[in-house]
Amino acid sequence: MPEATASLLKDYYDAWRAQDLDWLATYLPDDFGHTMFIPHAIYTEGGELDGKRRVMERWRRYVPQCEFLRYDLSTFLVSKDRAAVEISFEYRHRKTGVLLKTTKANLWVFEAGWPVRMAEYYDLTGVEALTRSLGLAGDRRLMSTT
Amino acid sequence: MHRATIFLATGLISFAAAATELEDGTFLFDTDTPVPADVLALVECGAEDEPFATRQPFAGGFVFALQCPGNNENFNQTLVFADNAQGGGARLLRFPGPGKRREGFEDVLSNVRWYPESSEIGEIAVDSDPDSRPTPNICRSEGRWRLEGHPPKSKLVFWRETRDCDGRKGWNVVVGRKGDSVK
Repeated sequence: MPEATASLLKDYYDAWRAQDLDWLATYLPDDFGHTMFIPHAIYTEGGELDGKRRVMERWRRYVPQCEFLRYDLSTFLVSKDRAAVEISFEYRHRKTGVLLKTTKANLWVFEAGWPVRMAEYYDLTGVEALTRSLGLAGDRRLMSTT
Repeated sequence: MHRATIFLATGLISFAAAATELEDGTFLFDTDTPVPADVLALVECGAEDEPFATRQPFAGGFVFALQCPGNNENFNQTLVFADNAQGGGARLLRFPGPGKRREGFEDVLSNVRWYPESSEIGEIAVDSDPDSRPTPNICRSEGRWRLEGHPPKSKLVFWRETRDCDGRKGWNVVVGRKGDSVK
């Protein structure tokens, strides 16, 4: 039922926009898996995480430090157990004012109505400036694309 | 700074009218409506058994786009053209680059862009790791191909490349018009 999938995602993205991670966590199962496709040199904490607790911890390390100025879903394609969402967004680091304005795509997999996996692909322009402000940028000498 | 771009078809459906199909006809496959076996059988890129896959009307038929293993900078897909939505007459599309630039992975595109009006398909590819680049000293490339004939074959109509991973400077146009780009 695409409608149920869409409804859950609507609530999820409302919670994300509100930067309310406790609210957002209510939409995710304990075994939720999340992958951020970002080179380690740009964001040390990128990559795959299994388990809602670990995913929430990763988000808690940067979401409160940023102000979400804009978060627009430009494409929203959903089926019974899959969804693909393209997002245009703008974050500002509260402490330094560094602005991140870019796009990303979220690919979701649902099981029994629950979102069990989400993969994020980024347009990385500007991401490194933000992660450096956050103290979460990696070492360029370790640059790897895998 | 390194840059990757995103891949989805342009279009939006509202949450209230959420469905598997966008206004432009793009369809997202799922476990209830899997990718046709004839299409899946053509895939050579190491895709999962049930990859993220879409189908959209294109170039007088349908193009199936299936997710391939990617990396941290590119979302990779392989494309299959079919005469109908069920995958009839399916054939794998290949996208040759100028010279030997895409040799060995002509069946995979990164960060696909769609131009249905001109039956063209674009790619923006980034590789910031000097050791893994298919073309030494080139971090970013853009290509665009037109699907011509029936069954369609892809013809390279534009290619440019640069050492600048951000794509802001240093472009060298290899095929096509100077000043052109893939957006």
